[in-house]
Amino acid sequence: MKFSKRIPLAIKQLKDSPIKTAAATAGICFSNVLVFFQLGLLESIYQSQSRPYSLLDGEIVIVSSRFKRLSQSPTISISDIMRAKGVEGVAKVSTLSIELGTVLIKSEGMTTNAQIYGIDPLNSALDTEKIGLDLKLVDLYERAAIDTLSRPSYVRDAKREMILKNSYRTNLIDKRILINSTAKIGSTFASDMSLVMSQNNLLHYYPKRNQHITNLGVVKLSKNYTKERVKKVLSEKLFPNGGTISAMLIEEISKTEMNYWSKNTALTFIFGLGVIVGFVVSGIILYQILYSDVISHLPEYATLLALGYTNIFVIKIVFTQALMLTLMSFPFSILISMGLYSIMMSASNLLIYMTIGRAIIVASLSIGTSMISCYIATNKLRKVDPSTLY
Amino acid sequence: MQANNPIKIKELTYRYCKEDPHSQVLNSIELEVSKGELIILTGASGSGKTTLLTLIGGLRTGAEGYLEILGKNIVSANRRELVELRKQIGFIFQSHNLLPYLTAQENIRVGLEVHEKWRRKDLNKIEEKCFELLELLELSHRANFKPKDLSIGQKQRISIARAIANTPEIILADEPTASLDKDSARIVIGLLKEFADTYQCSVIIITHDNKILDYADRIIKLENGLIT
Repeated sequence: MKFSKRIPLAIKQLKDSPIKTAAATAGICFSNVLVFFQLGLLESIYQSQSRPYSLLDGEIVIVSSRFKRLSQSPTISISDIMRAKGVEGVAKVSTLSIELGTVLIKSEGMTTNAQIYGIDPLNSALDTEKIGLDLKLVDLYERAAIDTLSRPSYVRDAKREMILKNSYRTNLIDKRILINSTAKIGSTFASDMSLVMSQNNLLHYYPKRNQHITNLGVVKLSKNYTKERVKKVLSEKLFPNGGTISAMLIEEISKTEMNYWSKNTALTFIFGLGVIVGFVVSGIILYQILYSDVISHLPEYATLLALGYTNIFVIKIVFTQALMLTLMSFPFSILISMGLYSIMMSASNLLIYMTIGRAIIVASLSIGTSMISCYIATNKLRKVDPSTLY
Repeated sequence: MQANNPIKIKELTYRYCKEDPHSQVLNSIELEVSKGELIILTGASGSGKTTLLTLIGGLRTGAEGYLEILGKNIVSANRRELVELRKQIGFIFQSHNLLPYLTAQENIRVGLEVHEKWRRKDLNKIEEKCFELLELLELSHRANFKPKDLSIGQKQRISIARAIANTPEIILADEPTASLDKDSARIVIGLLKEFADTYQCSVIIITHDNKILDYADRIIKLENGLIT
């Protein structure tokens, strides 16, 4: 026995005007894509700032207590860092030096800012497997590895010459440098390009730099030791609160970096505004569509009222349509956004990808916006009575 | 006034604009309609026929006086009471007012589904009822056609089927034969007459068509808001 369900009037109305339905779906999809783009870009930009920390060969970092961000991290004494070797549970302690320099881009005839990472090739602070770095090549005099996630045009030139001539010859702060290998690190706000070289090479290009100082210490733990426990010991015994040096977990320093960029730049405001604009656009589009739909179907709605249906029943039809349009547009929004992310990634090397969390946020806000638009658009229906037929 | 008469009207007055006495369209109307009676309401344009019909059908509010429909004075009825009243009245509009995105059969079904007793039945029973009505009106071959693929006469017959589907106690028809040829008009009015006789349903029809006056039990003429 098939039980009766009401005729799905909302679906029937949408199916009866396929072009109008498609246009409405496209409009909502467009504004969802706008929001996905803003949110994705914002998240990716912040994450890119903390990406270098995920490439460190360790679980704990040792930095100056005045540390705010990686590209301008204050220096600390190497010997202070090395004291960590004596702590139980510490398997390895290494150092990472950071400088900013100008590199000549021969093909463009101009210089660009590059972030320079200096490591000890015998005791690398960077996880060479993760970044694909050949330490033997980096250990050579006046040699460096280029970050392949730097701006694509810079990397292209370097790679071309490395294939033809084994190395890409250019200048770093007016001194000759030969780029003979590659690594995968990732761009940051500080620069479009990164190079990795040995500590000795770094001192060659930055002779005023003190050889006994560095920017970051990296602590790798032995098996069966938890990072929280070792960090606690380091903090209590070697680097107490109020001192000039602090021990932080990788997650903590990543968060510090992201907090710096979110508080000290207008990015959150700018992209946040973009998100709001996206939803306002979506709301306006949907309101226009629903309002004109209500007006064009007013005689039919008045007929339903004359038959004995309630105003609430009629309003529900419109709300159902709004919800269906929003839900129909969503899969397309996701697919188009993923396509845009892919294009952005290949153009800028920013790591940008769809996440379930973001999809849920956009879906929820999109549905919320559509319900608000619908509420405003159906204002007329709350007051209409069948006498409008006459 | 007879106790069981479904429609009882006493000193009914209606103005479109309460502040403007010149907007008065009904002036102290007195009328009583018995069960099974078919009344034809005539009069010149603007005489108040449609206004009276819509007031009786609970489609319009704001009248003064006494208007008892199916035992209830609806002059001061609230929205909920009017909604319940409309379910018990079959209204046939001048321009049929079918839902354009539904088939003929679905348009009739919409008239049934407003009633909870039909929503509780299984789908086969509802479809059976719809087809029964379509056959009665000689339209079973057009069951799955949408209004845009039906002639005006066919659309009006579907509208009638929708109005009588739940066997209402009152049927109100506003110019139901306006767009029909002579033969179709007589078929439609004949059906309404038969319905009135069979189910003791009160029927009020607004029309200018003299060819169907002989079906009426009573002819009422409205002139300047008064029954003459």
